[in-house]
Amino acid sequence: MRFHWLERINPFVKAVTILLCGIVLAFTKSWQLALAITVVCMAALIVGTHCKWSSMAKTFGPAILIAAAIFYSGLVFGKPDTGAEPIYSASTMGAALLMSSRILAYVSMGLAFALSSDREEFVVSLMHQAHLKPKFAYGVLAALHLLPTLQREWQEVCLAYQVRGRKKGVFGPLFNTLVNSIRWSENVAMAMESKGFDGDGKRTYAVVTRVRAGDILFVISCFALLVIGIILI
Amino acid sequence: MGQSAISCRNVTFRYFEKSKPILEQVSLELPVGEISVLMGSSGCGKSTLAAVLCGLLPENGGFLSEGTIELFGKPLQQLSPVERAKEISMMFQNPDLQFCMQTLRKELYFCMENISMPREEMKSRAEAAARAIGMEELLDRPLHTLSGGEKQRAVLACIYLLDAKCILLDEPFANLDPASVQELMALLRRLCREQGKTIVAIDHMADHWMGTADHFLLLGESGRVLCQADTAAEVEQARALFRQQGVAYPGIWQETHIPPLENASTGSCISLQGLTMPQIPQKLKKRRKQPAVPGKQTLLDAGEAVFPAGRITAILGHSGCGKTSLLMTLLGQRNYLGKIEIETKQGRRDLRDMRPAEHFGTVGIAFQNPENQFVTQNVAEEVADGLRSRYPKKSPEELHTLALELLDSCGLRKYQKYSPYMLSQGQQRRLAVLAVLAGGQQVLLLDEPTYGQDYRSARALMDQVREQVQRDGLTVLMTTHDRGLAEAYADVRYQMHDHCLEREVDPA
Repeated sequence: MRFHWLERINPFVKAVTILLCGIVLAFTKSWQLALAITVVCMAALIVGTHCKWSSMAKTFGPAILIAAAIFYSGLVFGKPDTGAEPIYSASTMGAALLMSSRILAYVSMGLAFALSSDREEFVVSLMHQAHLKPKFAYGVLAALHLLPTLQREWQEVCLAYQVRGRKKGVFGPLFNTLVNSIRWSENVAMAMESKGFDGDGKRTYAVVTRVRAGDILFVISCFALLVIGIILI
Repeated sequence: MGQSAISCRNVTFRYFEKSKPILEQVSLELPVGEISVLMGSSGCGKSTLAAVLCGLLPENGGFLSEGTIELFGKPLQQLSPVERAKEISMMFQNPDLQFCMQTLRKELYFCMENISMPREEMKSRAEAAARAIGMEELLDRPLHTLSGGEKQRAVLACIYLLDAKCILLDEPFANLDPASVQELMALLRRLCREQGKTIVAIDHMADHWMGTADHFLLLGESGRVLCQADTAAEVEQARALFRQQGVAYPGIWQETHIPPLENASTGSCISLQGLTMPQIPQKLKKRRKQPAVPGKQTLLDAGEAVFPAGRITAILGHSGCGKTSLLMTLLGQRNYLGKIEIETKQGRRDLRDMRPAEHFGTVGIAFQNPENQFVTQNVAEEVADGLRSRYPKKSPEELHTLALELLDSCGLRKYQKYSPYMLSQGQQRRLAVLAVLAGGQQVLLLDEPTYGQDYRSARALMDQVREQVQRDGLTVLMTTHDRGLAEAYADVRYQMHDHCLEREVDPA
C-alpha cells in the first residue's frame, strides 16, 4: 500500500524540517535514536511515495557499506592506548555503533527529501516560500535543462580524443566542455531576456506553491516524533 | 513611407573599452510591416547589430559609445525588458540554446509569466499559440528531443505568444534542411501579411528569401549599409558588390566552376552492402551495447552505396534522416547489420574486424562544432599533435616546423601562437580539418562543413579539402544541406530519405 502524502508536502518546508532535525541529531548521543530515525525515514519513503526501489538501493546500498566499514574501524581501532586517558567515556562498541548509525540516519533523511520532491517544484517553492529571486531560480533551471546537451557534447569531445589517438586524461574534455558552457550560458541568458525575462522584476507565476495545513502538520509531527525519540530512547 | 519599425543613427559599439569598434557609425531604417533581410560576410557585425537593436547589448556586455536606436518611435534605452518584449523579440541561430524550461508548454508559461499575464489565461493561450504554429502534439515533449526545425518552430510559438510587433531572426535557417526552411518561411509570411508584424532577418544566403523578402540590405565592414535592393532586379544588379563582399547571392553556387579532378579514381574506398542502421533511442548509456535487431525501427534499410576513392562524395537529406548517424556508424560508434568494407593501407578490410587504432588511423572526422575537436591550447601544437601519430620517430622541433608549413598552406601561420578558441569559426573549421588530416588518414568524414559560413569561408575550406584530395588521393565523405555546395564540389551525390540511400544521377 503506497500513497503520495510525502510527495505532496511543500518541498521547501520539507527541506527546512529535515535540515533542522539533522542539526538536532548532531547533538544527541544515542545510536538507538539514529537507527530509529533511519527506519522511520525509509518507512516514510516506502509508504509515502511511489519512488522506485532501484533509486533507493542506488544510494542506500553504498551507504550501508560505508556504515559497516566505519563500524568495523571504530570497533577495532577505537581502543585507547594503554595508559593514555580515554577520549570517549563509552566503550568502543558504543562509539562505533554511534558513528555508523549516524551515517545511515543522515543518508536516509536526505533520501527522504530527494526521492519525494520534484526538482522544479522545489525551485518554485524556493521562489515563493524562501523569496529567492527569479533570476537565481530560473538560472538554475536553465542550467539543469542544458545538461542533456552538455552530455552530448562531452561524448563528442571524447570521441574526438579517440579519433586523434590521444588519451583523454581527466582535464582534456573538461576544458572543451568548460569553454562550451561559458559560451552557452551567455546565449541562453540573452534568449531568456529576449523573451522579456527581468531577473528582479514583477511577474506572475504559472505554478504557485503554498504552505498548507498538511505541511504544518508534517512539521509538528516530525518534531514531536523527534522529541519523543530523544526522551524515550 | 510611414513610421519606421527600427531606426538607428550613428550607432558605434565595441566589446571592450579600448578595442576597435565592431559597429561604426551604422545608420539604417527598417519599415513597419515588411520583411527585410540583412546580409553581410562573416565578421562584419551582423549578429552584434541584431543584439544591439534588440537591446540585449550593451546590457549583456560591451559599450555603446555613440548613437541612438528607436523602436516604433520609442527610444530603446528607456524601455524595460518587459516593455521591450512587447516591441521586439529575437530568434537566435542555435536552436539548442534558446530554452530554459524542459517542455514547450512550460516555456510558453515562462514567457507569459514574464509579461505578467494572469494565471487563469495561461493554459488556453499556450495551446492557442501552439495550434497557430502547428506544434500542438509537441507541447509536452522534452525540448532536447526535438529536431532543429521543430525547435525553431517552438521558438516561433513563444514569439507569437509574446505578440511583439517586430521579430528579429539571427540566421534562423543555418542548420535546417530545405523542407523545414520552407515551413518556417510560410509561417513568417503569414505572420507578416496577416498580422502586420515587421520581420527583420539576418542571413548569409539570399536564396531562401527570394519571393518573400521586401528589402535586402548588404552590410559591409563595421556594419555599415553598402546597398539596399528592393526587387529581384536590383539584387541582380548588385551581384558584383555581393561577390566582392564574399556574400552568396542567388545562384552563386551554380556559377561557381570548380575544375574537375585530374587524377583517376582508384576504385571504391568504402562500400556499404545491405547496411541496416537501427534507430537507437536517445539513451546515451545504452548506445554501444544495444545489438542491431532487424524488424525494429530503422534509420536505413539494406542500404547499398559505393564511395569512390580519391573523390568527394556528398550525402544530402533532411534533418533527422540519419546522415550524422551514418558517419557515426562508419566510425564504429553505432551498431549495424550488413557489411561495410573500407580500403586501407593493408588492403580491403571489414569494419567489424578493424581495431580502433587501425580504424582511426584510416578514417578521420571533422565535427559540426569545430571547438569540440581541439585537444591543445595552441594552434601550432594542435597540428603537431596530429603529425606526431603519423611520424612517431621525428623530434618535436621537426614536427613543429612541419606544422608551421602546413599552417602556411592554409593562411593560418600568423595565428600559430594563438589558442584555437580565439579564431573565428571559419578559421577553426580549417584548423580542425588540417589537424585531423595531419594524421595521414585516407578517409575524411565532414559533418556539415559549411554550417554558418559565408560564401568566402565556405570556398576557402572546400578548396583546402579539394587540394588535399588532388594531391594525396584523399577520399572525402561529407553531409550537407546545401545543394548548391554539393553540386559544385562533390563528384558523387547521394540522397538519404525514407530509410534508403539513393545515388543521384545527373541528367545527361
